[in-house]
Amino acid sequence: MIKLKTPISEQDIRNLKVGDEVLLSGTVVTGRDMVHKYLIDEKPDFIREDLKGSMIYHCGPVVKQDKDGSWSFVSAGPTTSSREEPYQADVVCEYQIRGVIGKGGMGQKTADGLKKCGAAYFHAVGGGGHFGAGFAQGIGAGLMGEQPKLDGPGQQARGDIPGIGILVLVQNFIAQLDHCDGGLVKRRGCVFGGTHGVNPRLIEKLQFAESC
Amino acid sequence: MELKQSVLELIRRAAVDLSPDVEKALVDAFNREQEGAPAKNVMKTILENVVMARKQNSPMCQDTGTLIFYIDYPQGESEKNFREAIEKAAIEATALQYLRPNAVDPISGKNSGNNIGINHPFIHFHQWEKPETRIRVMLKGGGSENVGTQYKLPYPPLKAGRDLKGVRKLVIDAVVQAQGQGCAPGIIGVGIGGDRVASYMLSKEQFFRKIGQRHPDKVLADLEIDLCESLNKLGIGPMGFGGKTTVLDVFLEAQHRHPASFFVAISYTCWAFRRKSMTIKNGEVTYD
Repeated sequence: MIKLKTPISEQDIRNLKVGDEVLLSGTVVTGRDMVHKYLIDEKPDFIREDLKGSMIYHCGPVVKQDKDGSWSFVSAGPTTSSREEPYQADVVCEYQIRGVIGKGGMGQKTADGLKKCGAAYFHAVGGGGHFGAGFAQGIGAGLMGEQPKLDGPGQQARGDIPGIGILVLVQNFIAQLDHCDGGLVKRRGCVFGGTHGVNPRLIEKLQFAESC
Repeated sequence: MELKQSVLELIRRAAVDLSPDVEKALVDAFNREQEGAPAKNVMKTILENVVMARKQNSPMCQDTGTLIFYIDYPQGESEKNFREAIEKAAIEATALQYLRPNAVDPISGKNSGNNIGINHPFIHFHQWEKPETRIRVMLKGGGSENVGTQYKLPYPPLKAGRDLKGVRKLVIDAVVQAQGQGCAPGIIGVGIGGDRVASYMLSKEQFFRKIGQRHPDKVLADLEIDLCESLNKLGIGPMGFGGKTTVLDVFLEAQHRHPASFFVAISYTCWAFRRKSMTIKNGEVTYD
């Protein structure tokens, strides 16, 4: 099992092969639809340092606020990545992100962006919310702001920007690498984000079977 | 016990734990996969996740789904009372982090923050002749709901006609289209016949059957077994990484249709198959 810790170098990412399993530790940034739109429309500077060499995690966690005002994750598994397709490549390149974690895979635009800018798509286990949160032992203290306003409840505000959460992974987190030749490639034999190549002839054979 | 409190407990059980039949099916799937294969590791992660969620009493998936209730009640009970109790329980379950706030106003884009909204939670009411009340809940995840679909027969692209052979082709097509995106291994509910709404309703209600519980009609039961085996030959596998288990089970149900229409609805639920039931009889509450 390959171990990676954020911040991650471009070379470390380019050394990965499709199907590699990666144990990831360090800090990643969570964000869904509104975060991606915001990162491209507003190009905020305050988050650049957190994103550089790190990963963006498609996740809308269940969170709780403790009495001292700090936040913690209750359940934090991956959400469907394809919703971020319009923005993902630009977000990766603009902020020098080394990885995208999510589920379900993404499209060609993202694949091209990942390849160009030296990043990979990591497929986490959908529904593994507790697994994700269990290893996340806290959110960067003092970084969290008010309750989210834009993108659903799990997305925490950092500074005055709703929807960006900082997930500190102090232990290992398993992600499935989904990465062919430095980018996502749709072809048989290459695990493509939850889109396993099924032989069309097999589908036809099963559909036309005379068993009923 | 107060109704609201009982419903809160029902929601908690649904969010943090799987029913034994589902967990067993997941263990069986784990055992089927080959050592060292991605599918094996995915199943291992899934099972560890299930155990952790139960132990720590917190949601196994951060998407705690759409809250869908099915209430069967005897004559004389008030739907309003049930609705009020459910809404209060949902608000409390959200505050206790058993549920993520998942009710978004599609016009303003605002999340209500407490899982209450128009038709949310959605409640199916049904009055029956039994003396007891049964409340069932399903936490239906968004990712798997997005891969559910409805066809009408005949369906020329698959050369699917208006018979069970046609239905069979559609179910296979739907699962191929879904790939791993519904968080496979999934459970498939199929509603055959009815109008568009009734067909979807029927497909989803099948999720309350136990894994392995075959349809009483032998023709449908045989087709369920056949489809389950065929779908698992697709090789899509857990999360779409390839593997032997693409579905945990297939449930079919049929209802009469208009002569001109032949709808087939296919609902998909993820492996985090969260549904629980409670029965209130003589003031006593039992959970299943």
